[in-house]
Amino acid sequence: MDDLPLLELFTRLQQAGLPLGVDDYQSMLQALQAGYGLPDRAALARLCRILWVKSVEEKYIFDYHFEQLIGSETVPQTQASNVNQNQAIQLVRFATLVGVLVLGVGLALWVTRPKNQVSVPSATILPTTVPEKLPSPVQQPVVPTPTAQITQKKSQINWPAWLIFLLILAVTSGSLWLLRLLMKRRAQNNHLQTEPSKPIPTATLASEPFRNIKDEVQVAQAIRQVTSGNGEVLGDRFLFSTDYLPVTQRQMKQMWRHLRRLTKEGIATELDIEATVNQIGCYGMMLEPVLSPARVNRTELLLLIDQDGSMVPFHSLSVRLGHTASRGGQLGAAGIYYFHNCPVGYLYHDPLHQKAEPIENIFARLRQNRVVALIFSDAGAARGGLNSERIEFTEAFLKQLKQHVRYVAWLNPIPKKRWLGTTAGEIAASVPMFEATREGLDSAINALRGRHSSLQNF
Amino acid sequence: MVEVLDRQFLEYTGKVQPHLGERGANGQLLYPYLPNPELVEAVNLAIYLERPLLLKGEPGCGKTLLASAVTYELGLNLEAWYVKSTSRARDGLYTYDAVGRLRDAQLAASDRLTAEQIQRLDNPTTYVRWGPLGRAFQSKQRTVVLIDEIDKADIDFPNDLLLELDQKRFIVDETGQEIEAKAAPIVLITSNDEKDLPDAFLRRCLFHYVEFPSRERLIYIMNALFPKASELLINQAVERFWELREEMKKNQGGATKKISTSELIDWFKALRRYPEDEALAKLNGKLPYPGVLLKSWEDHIRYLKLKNNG
Repeated sequence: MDDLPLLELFTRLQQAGLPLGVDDYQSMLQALQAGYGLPDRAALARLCRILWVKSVEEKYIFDYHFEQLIGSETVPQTQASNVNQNQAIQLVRFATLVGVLVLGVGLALWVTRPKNQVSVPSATILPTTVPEKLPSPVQQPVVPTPTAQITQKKSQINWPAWLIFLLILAVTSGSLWLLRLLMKRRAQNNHLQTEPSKPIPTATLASEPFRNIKDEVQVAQAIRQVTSGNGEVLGDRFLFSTDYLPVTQRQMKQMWRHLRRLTKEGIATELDIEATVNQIGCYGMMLEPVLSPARVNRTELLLLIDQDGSMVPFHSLSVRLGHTASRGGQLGAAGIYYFHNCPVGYLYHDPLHQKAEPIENIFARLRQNRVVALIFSDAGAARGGLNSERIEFTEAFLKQLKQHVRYVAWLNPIPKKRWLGTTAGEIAASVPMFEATREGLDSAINALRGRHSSLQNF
Repeated sequence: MVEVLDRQFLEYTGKVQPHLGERGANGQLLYPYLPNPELVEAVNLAIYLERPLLLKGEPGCGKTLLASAVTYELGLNLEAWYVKSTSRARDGLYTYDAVGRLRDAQLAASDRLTAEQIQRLDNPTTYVRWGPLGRAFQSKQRTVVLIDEIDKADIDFPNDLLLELDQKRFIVDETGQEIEAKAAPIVLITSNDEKDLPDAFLRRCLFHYVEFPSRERLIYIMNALFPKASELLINQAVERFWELREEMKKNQGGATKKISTSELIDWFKALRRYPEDEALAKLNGKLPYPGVLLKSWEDHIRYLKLKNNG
C-alpha cells in the first residue's frame, strides 16, 4: 500500500454530502487489513456500503460514485471482447475497402461507360473517410451489383474471372461488415436497456427516484460553487434538471432539528430532587417527594405551501420541505396545508387542491401555545409588480393566523433583491420573510423559535 | 491499530441454529434464524470494529430477532433495551433511586433502621439501578446489546448516547463513579425509519438494510421453522403469500405496510392446525385467515376486488 486505497472514492462521497470523517476511513482500512472486502469487487462495495452508507438515499449516491470510479464488474470482460471484436471489424473493414476499391477500378477499366465513373469516385472517397456511418458501407457493395447485372446482360461472354471473384469478395465482405455493425448496435441497445437497472436494488427500497438522489449531489456542488463565487447564475450544472434546489435534504433535516421548545408539561412523573430537599428543609421532615413533569419538545409546525402558478418551479423544493419536516417528527398534529397564491377561506390537504377545509376549522384545532407556522410562497415576487388585492388578502390572513399560532415565518424561494417594489416587499413588512437558502431557512427557524429582531413588535 | 490484533476473535456465521423446542436463558422458545450472507458480514464487521450496527428494514423482517440469534450462536448474554417514546438515554445506563434514598433517610432519622442497613445507606452505589448498557459495560465478557426501535424516542435521544457508544464509558452523576466497559459490547440498533436519526449518530454506526427475503429463501426459512410440515403445503402457502405481497406492492407503490415474514409465519401456524389436504384446499380457495395478513379495511376491500378480477 504505497498510496491510500479508495481515497478518491472517499473524498467524492464526502463532497457529495455524506457525513464521513477520518475515523470512517480508518475503519475501512482496519477492515481491509482484517481481510474484509478483499475477495472481489462486490465484497469491497459491500464493505464500503456497510461502513459509509447510512440510508437508502445515500446508497444510490454511493453506487453512482463506485460505478464511476471502480467501474462495473462487466467492464473488464467487455473490454477484452471488445478488443477482439475491434480487430475483427478492422480486418473486415479493410477487406471490404480493398474489395470495393479493386472492384471499382476493375469496373472502370473494363466497362468504359460514363455512368459507372460516377461510382468510382464515391468508392475512392471511402478510404479517406473512416466509414463509421451505416449507409455508406451498405450502399457501396450494393451499388456495383446492379451495374454488374446491367453489364451482364449486355456482354455475358467477356466476364473475366478475376472480376467475378472480386465482386463476390466485395459483396460478402460488405455484407459481413453490415452484419457485424448491426450485431454491435443491437448489443449496445441491449446494454443501454439493462444499464439503468443495475444500480437499482432488487427490493424497492427508496421512495425517491434515482434522479432526485443525483440532484442532491449536484445541488451540493452547485451550492459550493455559488457560495465560493459571487452568487452568479449557476453554470450548466442545472441544465439537466428544471428543479431549483438551493438547500439539500441533509441541510433541511439539520435545520429542522433546531426547531424545538422544551417545556415541562403533562403528568408529574420525574422527581424534582432540589424542590424535595427544599421542602424537607422547610418542614424538617419529608412529607412526600415533589414531582414535576418531564421536559418534552412542544413545538408543532404548521407548514403552509403555495402550489401551482408561479410556484411550479419550486414544487420539488416544497415537497422536500414537507418531507424532511415530517420525517424529522416536527409536524406534530398541525401538518401541511396547501393554497394557491394566497389562502382565502379554505386551505387544502393535498397539493392538487382536492380536499378543502375551511381555515376556521383548521385554526380551531391548533394548540396555540405549541404551533408555529411557516409559509412557503413567492408572495408575488416571481411575477413582480404590485397586486394590492393580494397584499390585502394576505395581510388579513396573516392577522388571523397570528392569533392562533405562536410565531409565523415566511420562506420565499425568490431571491431577496427581487422582492423590492413587488407584492412580496409589502408583505415582508408585516411578517419576517426569508430567502429559501440555507441561511434563510436558518433565520426562519430562529424566527419560529421567537428569536428574531422583527418579532419584537408583535 | 496494534490492539486490533489482540481482540478476542468472535465470528458470527448464521449457521448455528437452535433445535426445535430449545429454550433460551429466560425460558423463551428459540427459533432458527437464517440471515443472508450480507447481514452476517455486517454483523461480523460490527463485532470486529466494535461499532454499533444500525439495522433498518420493513417491519417484521427479523431485525430484532437477529440479536437473539447472534447471542445464541456466540454463547453470550443479551441485554435488550426496548425504547419507548418517553425513554431517555440515561435510562439505558442507570437510574438513580432517589426516592428510595429519601425514604431510607427518613427511616434512619426516626431510628427505624439497623446498623447494617445504615451502613448500606452510606454506600452511594446502593441506589444505582443499572440499565442494559450499564450492565453490558460491567460484564467481563462481551455482551450483545439490542437497542430496539430507537426512532420511537425523542429526536435528541440518539445524540445523548454518542459519547457512551463511542468511548464505551460513562459517569454516574449522583455518585461520581466512572464506569468503563471491560469488554466492548456488540451493539445492535433497530429502527423502523419513522424518524430520521441525527447525522452525528449515524456517523458512528455501521448501517445495514435488512432486505426482504426472496421467494426461495422464504421457502427455505419456512422449512427450517416447520420441519414437520410438508414441502407441498409450505410451497403453496409461500406462493399464495408471495402473490398477495406482489399485488400489494403493485397497488400501493410501497406507500403502506406490506405483509412481512413474521406475518407469514403466524399465518402458516394458523393454517397448520388443519390436516394437510384441508389446508391445501383452503389455500386454493378464498384467502384463509385474512385477518392475519390484511391489517386494514382498505386491504380487505382491495383484496376482495382482486379476487373478483382474478
